[in-house]
Amino acid sequence: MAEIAIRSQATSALFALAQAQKTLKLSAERSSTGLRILSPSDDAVAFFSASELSARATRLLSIKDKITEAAAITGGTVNSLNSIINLVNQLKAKAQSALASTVSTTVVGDVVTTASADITTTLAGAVDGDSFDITYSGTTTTITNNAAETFTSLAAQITAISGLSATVSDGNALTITADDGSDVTITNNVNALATDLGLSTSTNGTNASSTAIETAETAYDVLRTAINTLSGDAGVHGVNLISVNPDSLTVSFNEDGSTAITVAGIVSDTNGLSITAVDSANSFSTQAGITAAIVELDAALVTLQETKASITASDAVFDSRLSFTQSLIGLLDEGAFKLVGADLDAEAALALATQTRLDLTLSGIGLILKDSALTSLLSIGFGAP
Amino acid sequence: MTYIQALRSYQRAQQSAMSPRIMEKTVFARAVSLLMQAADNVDDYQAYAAALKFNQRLWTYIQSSLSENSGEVPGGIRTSLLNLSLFIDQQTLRALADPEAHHLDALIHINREISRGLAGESTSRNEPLIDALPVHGFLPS
Repeated sequence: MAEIAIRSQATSALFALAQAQKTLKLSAERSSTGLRILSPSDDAVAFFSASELSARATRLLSIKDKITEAAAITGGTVNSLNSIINLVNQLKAKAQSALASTVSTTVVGDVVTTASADITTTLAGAVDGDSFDITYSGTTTTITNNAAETFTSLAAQITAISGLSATVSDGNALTITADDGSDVTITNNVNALATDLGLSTSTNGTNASSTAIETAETAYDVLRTAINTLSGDAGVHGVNLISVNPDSLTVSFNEDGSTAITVAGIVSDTNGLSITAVDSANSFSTQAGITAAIVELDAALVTLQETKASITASDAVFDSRLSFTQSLIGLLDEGAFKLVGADLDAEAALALATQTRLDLTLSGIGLILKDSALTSLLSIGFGAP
Repeated sequence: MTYIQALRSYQRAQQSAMSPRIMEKTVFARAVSLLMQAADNVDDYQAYAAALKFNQRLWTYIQSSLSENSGEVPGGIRTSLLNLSLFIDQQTLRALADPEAHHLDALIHINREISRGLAGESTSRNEPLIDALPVHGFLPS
């Protein structure tokens, strides 16, 4: 077999081609992985300093991730609490509008033929000195059939009670009205005067039939249920601090757990907040019932603010952990530069950003991030469409 | 291959084809876009927190890159960027704990400014740009 002679120039040309191909392959690998240095044999010094860099990034991230996660849970909870507060305020508006639509309580007795006639002589069973009690708004007043008492003068005794009015006229029934819709309780005292007059206790009988009140009660209960849905869905990263069975949040900032913080959960559904349903109990049929609902709502608002304060109390601890991050960066070359970032207010930070933009433009620096960091950020930032 | 798989493959191909400079601009633009979306809908707290987290990760990488002084970035700029990164840490925590759109304004502004500086733009976003003028106004009608 004849041997092909290769001249020295050809040998070196082939060698150069092989080298170029190797470089090309390496460069293709680097651009596909996004890493400048692939293995220690590539460039030992650069490789280890790059790993050191990523270890620092990892350490910074691990501290911040814990703070961020905890702050996200408390912040998300505060967001849900704000929505609940908004709902409670809407409930209050509903109750207040119902207050305007209350219907008065009315007690209707038997028909009276002549209003100016003496009760004892015209009413069967009535004698001088018999009486009945009216309990209204927590006060009991005795109405007595005195000597020569007429239906008209008896009505006047009832009208003298603050908040009540009584009317009687020939051929019409004796009617007692409470404008605020509260209960009017009537009981016989001496003998059975109330029974003789045909008067019986009225417990807001006329109010529950009001359409406006019925509508307000239904709307109120729908909004109330929305509070339970909100508190049930208030979980962030699987932690719900305000549900019926609230979780508690424990964050340990170091491996042995010596620096840990626990945020206790607080039940913030309608039971926890003591906001009761109104429709089935017809609570809005009286002014007192509506006022009681408003009192409940005011107490719930106070409780919600306290819950917010309790859940955000941990923010100071998160802050102190961030100072630790600052010291980690600051320690690297102490004295070479001054770090004041955490003390900047927004305005100073904006001015600094503008100054930095000009400095970057003048210096012509085009990159401040390493390739590996960029690849990582791109994969996170666009990873979940 | 599902739509999402196809999209991911496309994104990967796009990433490997990008120059680092374009990649960096893309990352800043992404942070700005996520933060603006979050500011528009604070009620979607998950997305709000995710935007803040992405931005914090970007700035943590800036912290770690710059705290290892390789001499590529002059001292003054390095100090400014690290100071901004600490402000961003603080502002991120503030924004997470108190979900309000206005907390994001400063973060959006800083990212825009730095991104523009890296692209060599000397005008601020508030200054008029020639290409922002209404072109049709100069055309014969």
